[in-house]
Amino acid sequence: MTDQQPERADVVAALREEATELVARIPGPLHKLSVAAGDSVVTVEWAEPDAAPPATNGTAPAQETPDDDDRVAVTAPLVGTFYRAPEPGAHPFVEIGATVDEEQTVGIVEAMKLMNPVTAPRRGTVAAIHVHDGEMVEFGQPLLELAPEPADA
Amino acid sequence: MFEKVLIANRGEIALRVIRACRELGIRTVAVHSTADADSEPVRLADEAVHIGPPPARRSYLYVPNIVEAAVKTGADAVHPGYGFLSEDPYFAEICAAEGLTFIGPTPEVMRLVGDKATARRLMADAGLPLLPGTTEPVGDADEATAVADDIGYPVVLKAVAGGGGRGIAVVPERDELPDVFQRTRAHAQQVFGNGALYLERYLRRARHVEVQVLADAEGTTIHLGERDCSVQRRHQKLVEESPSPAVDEALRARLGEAAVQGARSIGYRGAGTMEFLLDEDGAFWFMEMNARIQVEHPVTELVTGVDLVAEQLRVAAGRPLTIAQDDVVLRGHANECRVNAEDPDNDFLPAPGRLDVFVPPGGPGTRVDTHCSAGATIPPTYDSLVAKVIVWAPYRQAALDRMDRALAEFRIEGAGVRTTIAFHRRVLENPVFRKGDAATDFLETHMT
Repeated sequence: MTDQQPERADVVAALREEATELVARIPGPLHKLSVAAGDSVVTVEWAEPDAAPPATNGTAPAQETPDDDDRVAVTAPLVGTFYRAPEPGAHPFVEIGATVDEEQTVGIVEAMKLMNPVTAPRRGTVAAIHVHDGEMVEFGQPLLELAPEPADA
Repeated sequence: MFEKVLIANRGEIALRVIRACRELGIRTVAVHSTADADSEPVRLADEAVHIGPPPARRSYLYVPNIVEAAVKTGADAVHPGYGFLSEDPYFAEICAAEGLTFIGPTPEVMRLVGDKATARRLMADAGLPLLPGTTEPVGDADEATAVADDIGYPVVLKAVAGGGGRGIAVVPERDELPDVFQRTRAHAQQVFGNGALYLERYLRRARHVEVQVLADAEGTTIHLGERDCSVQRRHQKLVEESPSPAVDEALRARLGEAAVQGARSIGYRGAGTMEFLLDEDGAFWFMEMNARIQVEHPVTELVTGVDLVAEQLRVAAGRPLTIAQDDVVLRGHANECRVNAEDPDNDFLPAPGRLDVFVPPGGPGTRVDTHCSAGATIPPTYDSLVAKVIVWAPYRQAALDRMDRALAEFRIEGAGVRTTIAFHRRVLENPVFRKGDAATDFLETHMT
């Protein structure tokens, strides 16, 4: 049996790694986590997040860690359709983790065929994106969240 | 019939339109500012779109967000209510350009009627009686003085782009004219974006009698009798009733005929109101036309049994009116009081706030049109109308007694909240009003 033990250690390590990664990626607060080794099970349960539109074309809204008071929401300044990229097929203006400068364009809200840029109110990193590409937005609707940039060492 | 209508308004009229839509099986979209996010129209509509912060110019008057909301929610039509964009031809045009049916007259008709000097000219051409005055704006104070000398004082200066009783200034005598002219022009420029004024003889004592009209796409135009709105404060209506105590069957027929003639002559469609002044000799004079549904429309609904908002929706959807002129019979008497959040003991200063207690009246012949409820907050940003109490009874005295009964039951309480309920009850018990003799000078003459 001794030669199974290193294998088992690997499995456990792998499971732990898997569980940690999953927990880091869930879109809501963690409710339950179970890991097993024999027949390898990993179960993760989380609470319904506040704004969770279903993922459609791969641009799913990313997670947010709650209770971060330094976060700033970037909200829709008008009623229209939110676009993440300057035009169809182009790269999105920002992704999760991107650092943005104050007034940098992070998206577009189209209304009456006019493209209105949405700009970052201050410097920061994109911590969450709440709205899908092509989704209709209301005035004041949260589009993105910016976390403060990590302080320079 | 429309599948979905967006209501470009708030408060009690938004609720009124939503109710008419629901009865016709039409889905509704409410637009709201941040201040109205928890309001009853938003709760009752099938969908709601947050269109801006509290200030009206960035929400209920902000055309791009409203039109975008209509287009993106797939609305077929837009109902503008009263006030806000209801008489804005630019808004009506944009709606049409975006494939939305605007529930109201065409932009062209709106422009004609919205310029009050032009409206005077058109109605004169249609054969309606007009008070002596100008049908073009007066260029300057000298021209105004020349005209006024000719007509005789007192005269009244009115903004051509005015509405809702604003932009009106009386000139009692000649030497006051230049000053009043400059002030009124400046005021009109600031408030309406248009300083042009016209001039008219002023009747110190007259009755404000307005006629409700309805016209469909085929051009069938009917009238639904008159409303007497003489009890006003600073040209703002406070109490309305139908029929008018000063109008008999013969006069009603003549007023109705004039109103229909005027509406027909400009190709009017939808619901509208022709305002007249009835002088002490029983002669009537065209004042202005309101090309929208009005605050006091329930008064006519109660005496005729006609749902005016439903007719608006039908007409806009291309359907004929559901009634003919011969079907219109005024039965009984209806009376409306506008309960405002204002302090009558403090010059009617607005007194909004959170409503801790809100128990409207009920019972026979009693209708309350309101968007308010206990726990709601009256925002300070908009008009002060809290509720319209409308009663019906078989004859006038019974209606006045019923209104007093209803107002006495109405409980509205909140920190800092004052209403005009007690004031309305004083109007109702005033002997001149009771007799049916209240004219436009009623408040200042009999109720100070």
